[in-house]
Amino acid sequence: MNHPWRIGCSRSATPGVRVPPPRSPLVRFANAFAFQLLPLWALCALLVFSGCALLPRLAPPSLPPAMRISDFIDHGTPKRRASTRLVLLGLEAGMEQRPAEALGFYDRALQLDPNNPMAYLALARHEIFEGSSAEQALVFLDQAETMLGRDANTPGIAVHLAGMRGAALAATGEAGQAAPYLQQAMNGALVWADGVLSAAELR
Amino acid sequence: MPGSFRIIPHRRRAHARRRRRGRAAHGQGRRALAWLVLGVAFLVGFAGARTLVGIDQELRKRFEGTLFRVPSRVFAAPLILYPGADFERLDLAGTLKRLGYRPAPEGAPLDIGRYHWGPDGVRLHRRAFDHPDRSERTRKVHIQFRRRAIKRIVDMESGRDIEDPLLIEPEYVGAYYGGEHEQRDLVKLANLPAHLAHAVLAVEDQRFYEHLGLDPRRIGGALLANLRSMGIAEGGSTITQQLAKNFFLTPERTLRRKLSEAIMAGLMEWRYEKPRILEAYLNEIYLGQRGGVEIHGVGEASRRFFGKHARDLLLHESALLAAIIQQPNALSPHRNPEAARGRRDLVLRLMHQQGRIEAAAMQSALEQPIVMAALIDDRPDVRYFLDHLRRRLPEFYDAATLTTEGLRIYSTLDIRLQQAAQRALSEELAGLEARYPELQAGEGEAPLQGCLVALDNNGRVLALVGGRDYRDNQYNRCTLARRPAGSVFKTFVYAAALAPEKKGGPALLTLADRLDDSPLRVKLPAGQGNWEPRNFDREFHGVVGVREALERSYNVAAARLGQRVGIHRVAEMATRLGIESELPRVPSLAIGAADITPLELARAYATLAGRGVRPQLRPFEDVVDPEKGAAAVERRDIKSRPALDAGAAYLVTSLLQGVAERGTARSLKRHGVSGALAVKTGTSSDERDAWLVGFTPERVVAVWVGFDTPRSLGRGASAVALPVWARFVRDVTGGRVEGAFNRPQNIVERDINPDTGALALPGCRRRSSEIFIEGAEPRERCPTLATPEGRGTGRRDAAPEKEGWLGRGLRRLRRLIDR
Repeated sequence: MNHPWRIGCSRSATPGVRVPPPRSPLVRFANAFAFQLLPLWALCALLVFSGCALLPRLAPPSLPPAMRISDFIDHGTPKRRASTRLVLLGLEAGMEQRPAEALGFYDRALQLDPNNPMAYLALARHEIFEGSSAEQALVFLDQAETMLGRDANTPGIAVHLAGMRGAALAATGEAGQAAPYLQQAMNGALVWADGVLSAAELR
Repeated sequence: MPGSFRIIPHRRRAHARRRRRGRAAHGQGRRALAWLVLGVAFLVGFAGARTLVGIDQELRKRFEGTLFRVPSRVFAAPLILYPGADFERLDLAGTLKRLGYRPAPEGAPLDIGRYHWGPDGVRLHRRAFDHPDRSERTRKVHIQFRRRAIKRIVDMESGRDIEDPLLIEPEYVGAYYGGEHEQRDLVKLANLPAHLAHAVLAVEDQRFYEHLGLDPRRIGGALLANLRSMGIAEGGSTITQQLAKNFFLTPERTLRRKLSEAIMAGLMEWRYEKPRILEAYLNEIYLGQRGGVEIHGVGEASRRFFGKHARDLLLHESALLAAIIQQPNALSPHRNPEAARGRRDLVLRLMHQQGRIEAAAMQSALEQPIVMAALIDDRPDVRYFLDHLRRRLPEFYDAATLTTEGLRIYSTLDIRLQQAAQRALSEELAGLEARYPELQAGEGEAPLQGCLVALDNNGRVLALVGGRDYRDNQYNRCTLARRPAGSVFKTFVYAAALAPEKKGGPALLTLADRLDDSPLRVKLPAGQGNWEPRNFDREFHGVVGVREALERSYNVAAARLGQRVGIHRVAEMATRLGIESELPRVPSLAIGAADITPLELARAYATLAGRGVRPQLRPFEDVVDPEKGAAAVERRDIKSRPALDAGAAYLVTSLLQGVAERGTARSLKRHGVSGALAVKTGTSSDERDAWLVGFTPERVVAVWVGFDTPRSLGRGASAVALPVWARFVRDVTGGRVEGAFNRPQNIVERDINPDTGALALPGCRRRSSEIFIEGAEPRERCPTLATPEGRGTGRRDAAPEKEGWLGRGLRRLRRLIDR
């Protein structure tokens, strides 16, 4: 039985050898697409996807930025906002090596709003790095944490609390207790991984 | 002749001998006289020299030692202005007046220390001031209003908004005087405007820089004038002589005193430079009287008369100061402005005549009206605070130092709160006497007394009034009077029961528990019998909830709880919170059988308000010695110590909120106070002492009312102490206390069955919300019948819950799951 292909379309002189009939360009394209291009594209897509998935593992971890007190400048009641501005002025004075003035601003901030957690954070920093009492710094940190309530758990704030708590504990000689807090701070904020939180960073 | 010749020589010899003898005798006499004269001269010289040396020593001692005794001044906390602040509640207008700011007419130039109050706000030229932490420069600002609030603060020079809060200088509130009762603000000549010195010299001693202490021309002129008038019409004293007189001599007009004055003036001129003498004079001159205080020196006079520092004086103001030196009281610009102006104009003309000022400057100054700052008297209402502050200052600030060294003490006093406290106490006590005539003092009896102290959570003493009137009685009842605390002490019993013994451990009590208020008999140590506490209403209330027990201030429930907690632990808790008085370890301590000062109670409650952190009391922030510069010589930083778990402090606060809402202090609402309030009333035995101690999210206020010699008030604290407390809080907050008490993270809220204290599950018929320290929630469940072995004394007696169909279904479901 002759294959209909053979009719008038023999491409080989060899008898008995079946020569496939010539395919149309459309069929050829379809063949190529199905058996050559599609796998290639699939492979590419796979590579791209896997690359995308792997990239974050290869790149440094993206951390939420540690909060700054200036982020809170427009938060709360007018009194709270004014108090926070005074805290910022204090941090500015601290940055310019005027610790007494800084302390004065924190005092004024608390005079205005004795429940401003930012003032206690700044006071804690002052006690750790400028003052004389790391124990007092721990009390201020506790007060800030209580006043912050659930906000204290947000990564940006928690990293400050952890870093300062670690530094305060280290200053009291409790190196063992300080280590986990400092580690948490180092993992959370690469900027001040040495555990020393500058006024500029807090500001 | 030879005879005569002989005789003559003989006679001559005899004569010569006689002559020689006479001459010798005469010579001896002269010599003796000379010696005598010499001796007398020596003695006079020696005595004179010795006197001179003595005077010189005295002079040097004065000039090179403490030239002036300057009382130490106390200042209030500065006023802080910011957009959004209620300027009426901050008493901006009153503050400016008290600070000596003077109103300026609209359109007139706004000099330093003046303001213009318009419908849209106040334009203010704030003075420069030194604060221990920093110095503030002068600043022209426009404080714009929107209704009662500050809308914006604009810098008038740059036209820009001032975003940061604006500080107004701290108010002077009082001083520590020595015997003299003189007040002066020392100034340096170099810091004064030149026209001030010129004005003084023009009228008091125009040849000051030419003479050597005495001015012969002036003495001659004065002599002539006095001869003409046949009396003492004019003095010829130079500035140096006046200074010598003021420093060392009496004001009597005798020749001897005049001689001493002249010698001293000469010595002073010989030893010291003219500017030094002038500076001393400007700081020494007497310039009037304000109340019981003498004003000395241009610095003090400038502050009192013009409300500004002497360095900021204008020409016409300098002339006025110079004008009144002659007769400070008769020419007082407050009392006799016309006479003062006449003399001022004379000074200005003299200045022009002597070539010290131009004609145009004189003319301009002559046209200036006399505008004085409001009279600032020392305030009697702050004396109780000043007494307390004096005791809290470090020991090295003894009375002598405080009265002579001119220290500047920056206190924590809030002058607006202090005024409100004084007003609340005096007016409400008077109201009580009017309402209840039996509270009025009889003939010779001490009147009803009271005290009010306000702190913030950080221990700043904001207001302190130790009695009705300091002028009548200086005994400070806030700081010195230990009185039975009564029920305000119960708070410490509940705090001890609610606080975990160890961090993270269980507490003895939760707010879901129930207490027993049935008759109690406590056996006292041998021979003392039994103690049987009773309630204020003479009834027993059976099993009650913790909240109800404290809200209604049930004595028996508190006494029983005290027994459970242990009196030692209760006392220890009170001490930890801030009570310093010795507490008797007796069962009745639980219901307040302890003598405590109001200040101690305020501090202990401040620990609760501060979420368990005990503050150190701070009546002052800084002490500054102006001689050593602006830096503080003594600083009192915020110091605090953890005393109680923050969660437990919050639970106690919540209980005290219930007292204000439903309990013995519920009439606070009727007195116009509501919002975030946590208070406790207290009435001691026989109603001799009435207390109300409580706090808002920002401040702690303690009020005591009673008689100095204890006798019954005839009514409880809610009728006697509460009105004072309410009036104060209403005045300073407007009645509605904004804000909320911070809830610590370890506090959780659960639904419970209020009858059993069990955790309420769906199907529990009665439920209410309650707060717990995390992990201390009730284990028993409703509708499952609670087992009586749980915490709390009353649960055993609670009626079993009647279950509904849903409850029954859920119970069965749980049983199935359990199997």
